[in-house]
Amino acid sequence: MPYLDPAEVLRELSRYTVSEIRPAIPEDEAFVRGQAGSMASTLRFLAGELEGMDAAVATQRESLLDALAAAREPVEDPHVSSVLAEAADRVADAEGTPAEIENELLAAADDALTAVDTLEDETARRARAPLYAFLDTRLDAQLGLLGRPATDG
Amino acid sequence: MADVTAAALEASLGDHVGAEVSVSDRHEHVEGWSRDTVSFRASWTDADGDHDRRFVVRAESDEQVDGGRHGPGNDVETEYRTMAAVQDAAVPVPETIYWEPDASVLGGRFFVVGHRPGTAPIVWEREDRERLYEHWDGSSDLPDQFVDAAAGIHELGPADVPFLDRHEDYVDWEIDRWERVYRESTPRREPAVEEAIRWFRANKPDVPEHTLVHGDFRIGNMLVDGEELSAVLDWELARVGDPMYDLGYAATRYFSGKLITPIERPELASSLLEREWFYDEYERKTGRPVDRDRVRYWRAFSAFVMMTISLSRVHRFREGRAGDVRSAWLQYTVPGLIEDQLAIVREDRT
Repeated sequence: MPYLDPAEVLRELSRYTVSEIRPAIPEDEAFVRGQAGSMASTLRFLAGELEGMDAAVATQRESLLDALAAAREPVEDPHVSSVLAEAADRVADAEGTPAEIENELLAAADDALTAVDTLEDETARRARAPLYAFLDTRLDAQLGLLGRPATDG
Repeated sequence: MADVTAAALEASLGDHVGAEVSVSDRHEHVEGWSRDTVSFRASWTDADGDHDRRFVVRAESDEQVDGGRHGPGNDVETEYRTMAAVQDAAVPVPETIYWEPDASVLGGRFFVVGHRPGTAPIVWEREDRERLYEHWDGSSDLPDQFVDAAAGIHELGPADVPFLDRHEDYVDWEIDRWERVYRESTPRREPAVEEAIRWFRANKPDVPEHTLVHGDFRIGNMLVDGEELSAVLDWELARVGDPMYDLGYAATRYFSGKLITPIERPELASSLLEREWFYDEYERKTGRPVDRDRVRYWRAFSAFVMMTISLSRVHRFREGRAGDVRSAWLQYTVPGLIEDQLAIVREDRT
């Protein structure tokens, strides 16, 4: 339906739920009033997700590709190096909906972190650091979709 | 909600006191997740004269009655027995009145306790946080009472609560049971959480002493009446374990009020008292050293526990088994709780 922006529809439903529906529920119906409040909040968050999901996943993909490349630098173990390379290929090649691509990114990042965990301690730390930068990027993206200002870190 | 009607309460309480009881001013407390909680006023006359008193009934929810209870919380009888065990400890707790194992009375097994005055602060609401900050900034005794409550709970040893299981490999038991719930609840591997689980297993603390642990020790599970901490509630997660768990749990960012955006006073545990002051005072009052590393471990673990509890609710929603809209909303607490785990875990791993 190209007639209305879906995110804006959700925001409007959220506003209506807060301003009209919730006050119309009798005060002694505390559970139902609470449900209406949760619905409004959920609708608002859904609007943010719908609007920003594509960009958030693209940012995460770019960050993970950088992280996997940086993680390989201190690694001499051929098996771990291979796991990191394969993970990078999967991330670069991932296709589908934003949710499907996101799942592929998460699986690749987890495989990489699991492999890094088998390395000697100091090398593992050095390889982990860029992968943690990806984890930070992912959290920033998720919290940004929920309304956290980027500068709040 | 179980069938906690005025008529059913009159019949049940009437049997207990041996008199005809009149129930009024019945109020359903809908903020909780697990039990059905109703407060009410009861009046009756017996050989001792006229009585007029307020009570609270905690009943199994329909979900629990139907056998669909989930998560690692204790059953309602164990919760009652825990509260009964704490009656003589230096902890403000509602007076336990009676336990009813017959589920047909109210539609679920239940217990009755005396009502205590006050309200439970909601740290995720700014107005409530501001009121708690005033207690810390002013001359209020509330922060001291918070520490006293923790100290009082931890005075009870395993022998005082023999109905709670003891676990020789206590830390493993904690990790295993919460990880099991996490695995059952999440549809995909989240790399940051997998990192946290690896860290929990690689850094298990030695626990030299086991005591009663409240398990959900935070200001939101306490009643505050003016400057008085009038009751510690919600004993469903009580267990025998590391007393440092309660300190770490109460000191999480989440229970300081952080959901998505950082809060104004992150240094205050439960928005009420500075963390280091909390630990120092607890040491002074109990004589028990507060191992900062263990508290830090349990802070990270508590964020994992809260995330897991949220995800278990989300999972029920996904399966169409949740009758509560909040179950869907809870997914939005997850990134913030992962951030809190990662903030601690990364110190050792990068």
